[in-house]
Amino acid sequence: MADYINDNELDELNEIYRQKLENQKHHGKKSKASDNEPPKTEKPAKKEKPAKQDKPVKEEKPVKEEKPVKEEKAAKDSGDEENKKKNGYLPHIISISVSAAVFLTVAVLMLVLPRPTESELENRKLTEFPTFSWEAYWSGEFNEQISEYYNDTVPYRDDFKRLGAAFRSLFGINIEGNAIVGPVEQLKPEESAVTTASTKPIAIVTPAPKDDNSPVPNSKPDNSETTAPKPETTDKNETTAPKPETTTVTTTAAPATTPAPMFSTPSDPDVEVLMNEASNIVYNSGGVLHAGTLYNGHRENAEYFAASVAGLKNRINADLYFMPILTQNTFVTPSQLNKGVYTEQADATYLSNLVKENAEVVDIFDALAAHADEDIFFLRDTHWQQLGAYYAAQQFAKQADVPYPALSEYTKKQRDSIGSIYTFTQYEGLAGVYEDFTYYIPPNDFTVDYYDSSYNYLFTYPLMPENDYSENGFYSLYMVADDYIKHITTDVKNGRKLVVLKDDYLSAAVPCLTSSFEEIFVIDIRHCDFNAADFINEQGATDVLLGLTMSNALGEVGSYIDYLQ
Amino acid sequence: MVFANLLFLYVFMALCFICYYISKRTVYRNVVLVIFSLLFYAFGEPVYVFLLLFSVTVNFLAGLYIDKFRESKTGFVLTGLTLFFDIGVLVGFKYTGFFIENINAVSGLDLPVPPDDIMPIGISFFTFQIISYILDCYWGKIEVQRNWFKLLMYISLFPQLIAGPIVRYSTIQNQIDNRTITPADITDGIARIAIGLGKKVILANNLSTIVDSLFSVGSLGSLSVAGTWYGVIVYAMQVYFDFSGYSDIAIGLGRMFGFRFDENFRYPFVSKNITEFWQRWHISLGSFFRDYLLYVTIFGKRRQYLNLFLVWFCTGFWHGASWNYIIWGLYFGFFILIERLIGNKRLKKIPAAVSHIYSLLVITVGFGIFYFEDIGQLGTFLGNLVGANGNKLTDHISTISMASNCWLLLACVICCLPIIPWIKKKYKELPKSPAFIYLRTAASIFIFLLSSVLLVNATNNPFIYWHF
Repeated sequence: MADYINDNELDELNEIYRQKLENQKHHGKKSKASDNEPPKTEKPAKKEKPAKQDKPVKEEKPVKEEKPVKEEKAAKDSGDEENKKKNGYLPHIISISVSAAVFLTVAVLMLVLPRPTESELENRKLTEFPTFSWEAYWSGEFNEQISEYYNDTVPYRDDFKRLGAAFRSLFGINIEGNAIVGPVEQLKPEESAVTTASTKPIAIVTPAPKDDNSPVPNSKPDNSETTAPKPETTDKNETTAPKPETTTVTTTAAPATTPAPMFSTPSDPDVEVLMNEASNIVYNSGGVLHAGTLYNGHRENAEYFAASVAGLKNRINADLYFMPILTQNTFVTPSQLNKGVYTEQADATYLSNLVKENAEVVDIFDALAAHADEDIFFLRDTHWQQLGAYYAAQQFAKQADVPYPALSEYTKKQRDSIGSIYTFTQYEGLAGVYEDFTYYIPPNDFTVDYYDSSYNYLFTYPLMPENDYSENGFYSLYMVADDYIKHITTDVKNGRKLVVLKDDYLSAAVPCLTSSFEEIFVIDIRHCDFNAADFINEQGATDVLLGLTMSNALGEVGSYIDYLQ
Repeated sequence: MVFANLLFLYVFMALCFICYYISKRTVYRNVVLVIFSLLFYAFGEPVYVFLLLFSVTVNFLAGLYIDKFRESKTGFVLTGLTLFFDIGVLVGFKYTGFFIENINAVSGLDLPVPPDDIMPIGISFFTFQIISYILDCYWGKIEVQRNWFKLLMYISLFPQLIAGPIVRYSTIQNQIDNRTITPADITDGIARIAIGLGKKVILANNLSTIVDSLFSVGSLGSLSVAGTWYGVIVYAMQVYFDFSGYSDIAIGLGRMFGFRFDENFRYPFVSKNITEFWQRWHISLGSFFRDYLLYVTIFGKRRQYLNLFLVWFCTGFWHGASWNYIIWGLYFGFFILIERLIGNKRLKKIPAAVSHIYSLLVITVGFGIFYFEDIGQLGTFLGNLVGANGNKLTDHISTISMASNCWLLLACVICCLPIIPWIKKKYKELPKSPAFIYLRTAASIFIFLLSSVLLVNATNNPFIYWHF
């Protein structure tokens, strides 16, 4: 190849080099490292010379007896060397030119193309260019916000996000068989209706109240009378769970309540279901990517749960509140996606009717419905945002007659998050699709002690440890993890002690109650190894808030409340 | 500012290269580098850039006087005082909170703990560079720098300012005034930057998603034995690609500016023992402790094991003000001590497969210790590894995660192996062939653009070693 030189030529070049060195010595020139010695910096340059030019073996050969070297030959060879070097560099120069052209083109386009202000994909306003202030500058926030602005508002950013998600979808194979299931009609309730067969023995012998006053939305036939399970007489002792002590005490005369105005999320004829795996669903509605877990409730455990609540009430000396928690299934999910026989709200009303004799029901429907147009739920996560929890807890505080600070008193913060549905399903369309996680730091002082599930002290730690934040496990910002029991001692002096018995949802509400109670004990009923009723009495609790989603209250989790007594 | 950031790549870096290559003389280029380096640092730390300048000034003056009084006791005292200042600044910013927390815990006092976010970014790295400069001055290994501006350039050079590699002054002292840039340097630099960016954005960031989902506080307790091993193996690769990616970008940028930084990683996961691992992992840190601590017989010549303990204690503690990092350092120190007691000859007799399995196990568990700053969680993690927490052998989430990331994981494993050096060794002429150069450029552009796409709205992807 013309670009390379052979060994003989290399020997000759080496000879010329040595000759030059000798000549310089003879002329008494001061040898400068930068001029004569091959500095370190030049080694790689040599390395890039055409092939074989820098063979170390050749260079280290003992110097042969000097041949007479003609200056003309040296000059000629030197010129050849330059040419060869240039030729050797040609591919590099072409590569640099192409790279620089691409790089600069992208850089210029990113500067001159209009930047979006909203993301259709994420249904949110994008980061705005920050306003300068010296305070923000010296704290580093200003520069950080510029960086966020630049990264968030890249021209065609939604397209790039989709491209990124498509690339990530190549990372592996989906063993769950996630597939695009096409038209929504495939998901009509009658085709995916849940079985009403009870899988759990029921201890209640009292007939369940009818929920005639809790009509099922979406014009579904109210088939509660026909499909509600008949009271079963199976003794719970046959199972592992103990029988509630007061199973027949309370639910006999649960009168019908005034029906709440039934709320129905509008159906969206254009909704496009992208994935439906078990109850996890990903869909496009109104141009926004949603993901969630469809409500799949069933009422056959309702009486058992109600009896457990009654048992709890009978054993404690505190006021007991029950908050049936409503999720995005009630407020966001297009109605035709509902899989269950009943809607979540219908079940909440039904259960409330059963429970209300023994616990004051905290009906959060109105509180949430009034703010349905705010970001009270995540778009792609099963939880509610803390804003939703705030409104729900406000309703509870009102009923419990405790102080409750205005939202403006909290410190509002925002982080990026990736919804739990991605973690559950690894559905490629959700990869890298972020949404805002907004949380509120309470305004008052308090300390939080963490205990294990047997109430052995473990450590003292922040209520909302921001340093541990992760985009995927963002809900652990609320008191680290569900399996710790927390004891919060606040600066409130009103003699009120609250025990929160909860599942995931109320985690976000606890920070909203630190200004309302002197002490708060937070127990996730899935992670409690002691008698909660005794605990409530021993701690001298004045209030107990039991808050569960309908899926949990009417599912296996609901039965845990019984085990705690 | 971090490298894996569109603002850095398409604004800062673009402007810096334009200004640098427009300037023809080295002296002007040095000015460009210093200005951009200070801008780079001030972007994230507008206040602490003054600390950097102050520290450079103190050490510049100290260097001059140490050089002058090197042979006398004054030189010794000056060196000691300068080191006290440098280490004092590092300890003051990085470890005060840790010390106070521990004092509070032991004594029951309630001393105020400074917030975590007061630590200047990259202080561990530039402090170590300064220390190496001062000690080399005192030992006469280098010529003292008599130009403040040039010393500032050495310390603040933005490619290595934030997260290393810890570049010795001796490595680049000749390059400050005399450096050449060939077209080959530039293409090599471009390729190196693209590789580093790809390692970080394409591999490490996506591995971190897996790790977060597995090791997030709530889910660790329910993780199976296989899931825990899977998680920690993924985390080990994440740290490797994250940190070596940063080093690649730093080396690539340096190359494009005409500097040659030493390698910081050499395929550490192929090591046959832990001693070898630390000769391949974060080489600049290992060699720093070797040259400035291990061979300095603080405990006396015969007490080499105490020196070894000190080195690994410091290695762990350097990484972070938390007990898990100390445990992590001593953990590796323990295995290195065992290997030293066994001896090289005997180690070499162990079958290669056994050696590899041994080192991978130790390294992997070590990264678990590195991950969990909370000692309680660390205990859960260690229990999970052997099923001591009553956890299952496998779990659904981990299985799904493995399947849905199998190609990514395969690519990561391949990238952990020294395949490119092997190809280069086998086909020595290949890197110089025009076809290879064009192909490499095309691949670099592709990786660069793909990484850019993945960086859109990726506002939270700092390098792990950024914190150190």
